[in-house]
Amino acid sequence: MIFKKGFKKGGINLPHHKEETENRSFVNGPIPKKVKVPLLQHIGKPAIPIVKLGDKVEEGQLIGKMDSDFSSNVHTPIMGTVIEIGDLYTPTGVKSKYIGIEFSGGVKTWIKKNMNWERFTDSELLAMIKEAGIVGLGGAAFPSHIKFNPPKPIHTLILNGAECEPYLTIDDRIMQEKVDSIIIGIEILKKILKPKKVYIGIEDNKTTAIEIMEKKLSGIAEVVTLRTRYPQGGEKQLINAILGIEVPKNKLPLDVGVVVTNVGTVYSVYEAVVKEKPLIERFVTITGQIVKWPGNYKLKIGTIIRDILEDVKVLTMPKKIVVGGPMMGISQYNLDTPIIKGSSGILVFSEEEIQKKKEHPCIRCGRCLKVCPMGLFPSLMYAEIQSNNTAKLNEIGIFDCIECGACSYICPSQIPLVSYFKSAKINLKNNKSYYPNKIPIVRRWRYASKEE
Amino acid sequence: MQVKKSNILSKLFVEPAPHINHKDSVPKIMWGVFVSLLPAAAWSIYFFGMPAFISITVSIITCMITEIVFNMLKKSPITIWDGSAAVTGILFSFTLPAYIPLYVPIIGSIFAIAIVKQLFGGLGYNIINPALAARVFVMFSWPTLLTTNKYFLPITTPESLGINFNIISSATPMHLLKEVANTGKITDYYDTWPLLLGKTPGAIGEVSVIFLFLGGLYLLKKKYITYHIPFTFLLVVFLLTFFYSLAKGVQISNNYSLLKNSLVYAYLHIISGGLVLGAFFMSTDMVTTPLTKKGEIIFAIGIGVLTFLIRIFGAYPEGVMFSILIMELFVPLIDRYIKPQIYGWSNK
Repeated sequence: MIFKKGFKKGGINLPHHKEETENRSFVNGPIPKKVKVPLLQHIGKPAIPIVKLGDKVEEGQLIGKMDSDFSSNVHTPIMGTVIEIGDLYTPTGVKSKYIGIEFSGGVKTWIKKNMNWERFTDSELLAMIKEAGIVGLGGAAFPSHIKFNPPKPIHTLILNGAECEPYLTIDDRIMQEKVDSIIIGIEILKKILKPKKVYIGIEDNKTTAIEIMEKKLSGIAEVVTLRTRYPQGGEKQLINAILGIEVPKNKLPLDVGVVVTNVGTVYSVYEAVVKEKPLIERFVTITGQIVKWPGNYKLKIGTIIRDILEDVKVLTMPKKIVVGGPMMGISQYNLDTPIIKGSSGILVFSEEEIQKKKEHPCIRCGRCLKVCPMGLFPSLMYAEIQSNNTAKLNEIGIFDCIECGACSYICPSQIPLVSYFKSAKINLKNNKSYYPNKIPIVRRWRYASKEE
Repeated sequence: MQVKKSNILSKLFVEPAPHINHKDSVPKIMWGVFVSLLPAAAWSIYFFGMPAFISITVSIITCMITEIVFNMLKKSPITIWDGSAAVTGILFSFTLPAYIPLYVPIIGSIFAIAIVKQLFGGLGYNIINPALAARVFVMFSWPTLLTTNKYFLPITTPESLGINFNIISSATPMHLLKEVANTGKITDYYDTWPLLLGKTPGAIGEVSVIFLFLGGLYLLKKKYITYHIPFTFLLVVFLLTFFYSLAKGVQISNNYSLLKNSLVYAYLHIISGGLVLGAFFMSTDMVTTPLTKKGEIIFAIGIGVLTFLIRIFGAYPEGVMFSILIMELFVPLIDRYIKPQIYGWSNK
């Protein structure tokens, strides 16, 4: 057996559940009659609305202007009229202002007008990425113009095609179907970042994608076949797997001279530069046993989940909707939530599929610490949270937790460990002591709404 | 079904990520351990007859009732269905002779659940293994009952087994090994096959080494335990007894060479007494073992060395339970110093 690369610490083998959608090509979703575009879809400051009620907007027109450099532009995905401006909770649970747009008819064709993109300078290319409002499409939605403008030179660019989350298949499909665009995207990033070496990491369960990438990308990037193990696609884990180095505590990947970016982001970089098309659409995997037409769809950002479900048809009543993957995705309170730039999947579960959890006391089995990809001590962190020992929590590294959820997954006592850590981190950041024995918060916004 | 606004508006189920879970749960693990002990229990019942069955059942039921009483006193939900009380009951009964008066398993079970487990806070909070602690408790409470040979000997052994009573009626294997350690010579040649199959006197759960091995392999296959503790423990005892025997020149049989004598002596140590039961079922109890693999290996080495010392130099013929209990008290210390290396912290 050939030795496959992988990260060194912890990790879990998950059931893939990718069979349902991995062979389905991308399908353009229908144009929604109405979209709600949140102005905070990224990490950083929310964009400032620059349209008012009743304004007519073109497809791809700027409607939210970036507040400072640590922010991102927001564009309208459809042609239409601004009919409402209000507040909503985005799928990640953040409260944000949104702009509601009603479709008035008409589609814009995005032509490849900049095929000779080589004539642009680095700063012009960066400005185009900034203008298009590109953010990381892997889920965290970090503004790309900041990531691609590192303060010091980097030596390695890593493309993340690991897609370690079960159910999701969009990165797999992008690598199979959009090869030519990705090649141009990589060339653009190479011109901006000037790395000495480019890698693309793919988990070994995506055999077709690996084959295609190896054939087409020879001389452009080195394809690294990775062991299928969650969370292989975590930034720090990917660096560890491919380069064998660890990102030091409290440092970013660029401190060790590495930039990691998702293959989906590379594709949107290509669109932003060659087509001058802002980030108004994204690929989303929609799956679940009760979905009649599961698949990989190209959806307008801001489409409301209810409309999407009406289009793909659900066979019975959905009881639980998760936006994102099953390990880190967030289950939704209502179906009127729009999808945003960071939404990589919509998982639909019926009532029968919901696993009812019964919490037991910790039996000290130690599985959480064996699976933790960061080498942390989850059961001890949980005990310290229970006893409200905030000083100790810092000491044992709660801020190094990447919130992958491996500990909660494996826990035989079904303690929601990662939820405790998430809320403890928020509490610690705000210098608040953690209330012992409190039920952990489900979503970030519950905490936020308490602040008001 | 068409998705209509009215019916899709019904309440959605919301829970924190992750939305999928590993199939193992506490009840599943506990009942898995319970099931893995049943073949050995069945053999004991076949070998010792009804008294063994009664003793096992009484222990399990007493443990469960004590647990219910404590649940009611603490006004907490009934926790017997997670299986931990049943496992304690069956493990405790395994350490007792089959023909012991029934008040011993009853009082021992109450001690195990009430004092050792529930007073420390219930499942997950006990610092030592309840079954083993109870065994030590009854051993010091009724020393004669637990050391007299007649309680260990099968009374109603089925004739089909074809056991020669003259051989086995002399002493339990542990006494014989002790004798070897003292004199350097074995008085009564002990065949290894009856020992492995379980045709020798002993406590209920100690007799059938093969079925205990099978149960242990089942647990390993199900990944309810890892190989670190049992195999380190067995290896350490094997190596120590082997080298001891080489140094001392123990003679199992005059026909054997020194090397073969030592190997057989070490092998006898592995398959006799509570070693296999201790290695696979007692010392692997998740609650009272270190959390890390490294810690588990240190823990198992400690048990192995202590078992060797007690068996060879101690006053008791059997040392497994004392060594496990002693090492369990070191677990917090091991966990304090053996910690996983946090990603990115080594080169800070």
